[in-house]
Amino acid sequence: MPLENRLKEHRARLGMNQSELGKRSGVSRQTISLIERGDYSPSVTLALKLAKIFQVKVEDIFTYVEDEET
Amino acid sequence: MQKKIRNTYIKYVLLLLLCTAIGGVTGAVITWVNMDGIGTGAQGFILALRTAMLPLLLVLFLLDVIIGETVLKVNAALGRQLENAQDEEGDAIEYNLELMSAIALISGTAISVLSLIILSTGYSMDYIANVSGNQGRRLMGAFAVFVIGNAYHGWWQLRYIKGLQKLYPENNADPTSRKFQEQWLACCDEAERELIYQSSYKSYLFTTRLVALLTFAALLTHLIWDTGIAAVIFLGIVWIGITASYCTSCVRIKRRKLNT
Repeated sequence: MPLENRLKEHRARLGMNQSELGKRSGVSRQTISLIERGDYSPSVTLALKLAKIFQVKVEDIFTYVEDEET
Repeated sequence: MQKKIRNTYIKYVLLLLLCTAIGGVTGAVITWVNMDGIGTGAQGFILALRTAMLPLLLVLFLLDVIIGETVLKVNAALGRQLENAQDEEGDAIEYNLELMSAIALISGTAISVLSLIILSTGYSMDYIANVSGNQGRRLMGAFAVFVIGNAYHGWWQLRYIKGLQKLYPENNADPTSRKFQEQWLACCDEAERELIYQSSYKSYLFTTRLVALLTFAALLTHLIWDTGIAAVIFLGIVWIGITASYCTSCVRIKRRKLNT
């Protein structure tokens, strides 16, 4: 996936577990886990929700990484 | 690009020739092999199934109950673990829940289909009208076991869904509603929906290939053993239905986007 994230860091900063973050952002614990592992890229809406919860910009959580081949 | 397109057409012609060769070999095999013998053997097997219908359906029903109750028990235990699980433990538990779900659904469907096949060996007006005495009572017994088995399976599905909804209370789909699957999908979040969409597409691809193969297999069995064209017609309808359903869904979604 071309998206790196620091979701776990921000979550730890606020002392939240995955379930709590999931409830606050309206998704399941499993989805938060998938995003943290890089197995799922969230929609723009969800990314903005997460940024609002952490009081940071979206770019502070997610970084787009160029493919080496392109 | 032109070379790529030309190569595609050449590949297609080669595939057609290969299929023609396979068809020719199949025809030769059919001519040489004693197909009447196979047909007689199959008929004998069907009669044996009919005779053993009641005990076979009882065994399948018991198997369904054993697997079903085991899955419910395991799910309940996993659910209790999930309440107290930390983040990574939760992933492993939810994977096991998904695995249990797959085992339950596949085994339940396999048992239902096997039961239907076994029941169908005696499900003919001609046989039912002429059977009597002990054979008649065994046939009635088999029908009763089949009905009870299906009723149990439906009741099991309700308990299974209620169990899942206890773990995930945000999912409030009504399992007795005609629109249960749509309600379930509406309760899923974006990642869960993507999983469903990916699995559905894989399922669509697999089903279209399988149905095409089965339609030709039904045609072949009709050619060799005169099994009747009903199977060919029904499979053909399924084939058209799957393709039409997928295409109309794509068109509807695109039209909705045009109109917004």
